[in-house]
Amino acid sequence: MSISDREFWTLVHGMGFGALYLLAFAGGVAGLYSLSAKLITPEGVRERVARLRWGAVIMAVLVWMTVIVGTYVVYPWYRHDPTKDAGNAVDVKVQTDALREFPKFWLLASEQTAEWHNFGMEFKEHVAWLAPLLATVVAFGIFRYNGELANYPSARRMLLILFIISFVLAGIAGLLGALITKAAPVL
Amino acid sequence: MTMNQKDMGAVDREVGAAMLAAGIGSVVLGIMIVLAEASAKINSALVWVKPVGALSGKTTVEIIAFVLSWAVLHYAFRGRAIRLNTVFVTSVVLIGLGFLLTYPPFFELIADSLKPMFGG
Repeated sequence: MSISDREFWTLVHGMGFGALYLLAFAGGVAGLYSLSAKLITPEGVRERVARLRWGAVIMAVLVWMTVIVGTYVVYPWYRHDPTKDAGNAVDVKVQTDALREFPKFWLLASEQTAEWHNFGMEFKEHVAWLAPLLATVVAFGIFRYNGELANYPSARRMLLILFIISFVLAGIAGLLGALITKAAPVL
Repeated sequence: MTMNQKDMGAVDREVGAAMLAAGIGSVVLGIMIVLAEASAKINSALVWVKPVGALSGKTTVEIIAFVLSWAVLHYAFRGRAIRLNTVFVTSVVLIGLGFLLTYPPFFELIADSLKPMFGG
């Protein structure tokens, strides 16, 4: 039972940083939603805000790491063109075992799998990069408003909405990534 | 812990600037996607890290737009009365537009209509 370097980094990107971000979302949204001065004592606000601040920063870092590792480590392996390698005689028009080392070209070699790249990866590689901007804004907002968020429901609601949008965008990218990896893993 | 109204106004301006910057960054990414699809020259020009291809340029331009607009808006909003609700709605609309432009059938449609402009 062994995994290659490429499989390891794909795991770090998807199941490491990406999955952690999506899992931590539940705690973050519950924390933001319930941060109301009507529901908790001033002591409770202080305790929860401290946790929210840490949580928001960690989540922003996680989503940035997800897109950076995905784009600069895993994506080059996915999109590598075998016709650019000197002496490589792999036929990019037929789905052979040799072509499996080049996932993008393996997917494009058949009409039945081409849309995994033309739609799936083209969507995923771009939509993912919207999530970190929103996660950063949410973390910034939590830091700047601090405990005042408990008394400011409209600001809390805005940050919550941005947080949910960030999760949905990351979720779309994660789902597409999982399906594409199933169809054409980075070996 | 409690802030007075003046301080809250200042925080609203700072957070509003950040929200709007995220919206601007999102739209800029969308524009880069469309332009790279519409023009092979622009696509090549966005290859800043060869193994990553044009995605490296598109996303770096997005981040530059996000950071720069955040800085500009942060100073532009200083001392001005802003309606946080209005800024928030504008930001969400821009993010929505950016999202639409990441959707392949949509960006390909727009890029196809722009190709004649780029000699395609």
